Amino acid sequence: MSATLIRFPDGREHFAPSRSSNDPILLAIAEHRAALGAVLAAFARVDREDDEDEVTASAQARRMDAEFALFTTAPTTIAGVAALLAYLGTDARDNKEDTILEYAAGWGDDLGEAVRAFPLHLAAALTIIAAG
Amino acid sequence: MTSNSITPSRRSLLAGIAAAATPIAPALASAMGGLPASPTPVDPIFAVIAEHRAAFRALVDILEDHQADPAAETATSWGLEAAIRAVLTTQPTTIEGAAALLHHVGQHECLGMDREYEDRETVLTAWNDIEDERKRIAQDFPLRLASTVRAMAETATLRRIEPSEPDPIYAAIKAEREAYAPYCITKAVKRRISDQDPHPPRHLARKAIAERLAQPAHKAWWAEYQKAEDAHRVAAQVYWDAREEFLVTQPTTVAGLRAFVEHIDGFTHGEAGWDDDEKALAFPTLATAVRSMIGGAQS
Repeated sequence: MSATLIRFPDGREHFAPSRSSNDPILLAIAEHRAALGAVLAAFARVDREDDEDEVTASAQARRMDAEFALFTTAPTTIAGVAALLAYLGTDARDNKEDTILEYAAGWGDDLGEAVRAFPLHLAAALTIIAAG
Repeated sequence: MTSNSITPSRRSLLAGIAAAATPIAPALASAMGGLPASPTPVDPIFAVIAEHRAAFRALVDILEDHQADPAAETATSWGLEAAIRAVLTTQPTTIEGAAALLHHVGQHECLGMDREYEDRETVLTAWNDIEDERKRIAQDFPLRLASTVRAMAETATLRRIEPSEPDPIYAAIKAEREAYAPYCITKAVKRRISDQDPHPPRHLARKAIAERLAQPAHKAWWAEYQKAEDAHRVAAQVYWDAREEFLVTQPTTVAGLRAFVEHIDGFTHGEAGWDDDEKALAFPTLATAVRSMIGGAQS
């Protein structure tokens, strides 16, 4: 685990988990967070036509790609494993009903399989990290 | 265990059942580097996984025994539910335990123990569609495990940054404490002798002062006072040097950091306090020490 010294304009200093980590899961999480935000924004538009309109469909496609990456990218650090687990346990739709993991488990095909297999994949990643 | 209204038919029983997984390869547990691995599996999660496997096997045996007592079937199903709850809520204490737990919850919920049951759910997702507290237990699994894994990583970091050399802050604290008593004693002696002046000055007339200084009793007292003052000057110098040394000594361990902060910020009877200026002087020392420790952990 690493940390970065952050200096505030008033001279205060604070140690925070490093954002410069090369762990690819952090990028996958960031992209998924952004893609999810885009979907929620697309649905919230006043001029939205239906689920097939271009903005909504584009946002959904980005979200599906991001979701597949989220469940198939292997973390390379312990901090990445913890970040992934924490992120998957957060609210998927701002409705306090479904977590990101739970919501994604409802997909079929490759994505659904990736979601169901993700604990195995994460266990393997954790074992490799610990051994390395 | 919380009871529920589920009728223990084969399907309803299995709807809440998760798989019994094969534990992760023991060989993997031997190469855990600086992480909190244990050479022998003392992590309680292994027993919890084994209990889940046994509970599942017990239910399958009862379902296959067509003469089984329905009450026993119900009790067994509840035992299985309790075992699943334990799997989803017990926190591992080692990295290999965390890996084993993830491997276990990623298994198909029946793991081939019931060939008639073809649902595709895993241990982790099997409770997603059950609208009671079990859903929340499954939902919160990733967050709980994230906290546990994060704590393990922090513990591992702290272990890596603990050096083999003794932390110099303890000697600095000891020196400061030991210098305080002579400082206090010599100060008290000096004050006592000062109070014993046989001819204390009452006014500033030059003649009166000259007469007072000429008194033999005054000369004897003055010599004793000078001696006490010299002793106190030496003790004070040692004491202030020790305080300064403490303020610039960087702890090299997390325990040393805590000792530093408690020494300067706590009040212990018989010790001198530290004013705000001194505490301000301590901050750069602490900041540098923390920066060094984290830098050491990163390398």
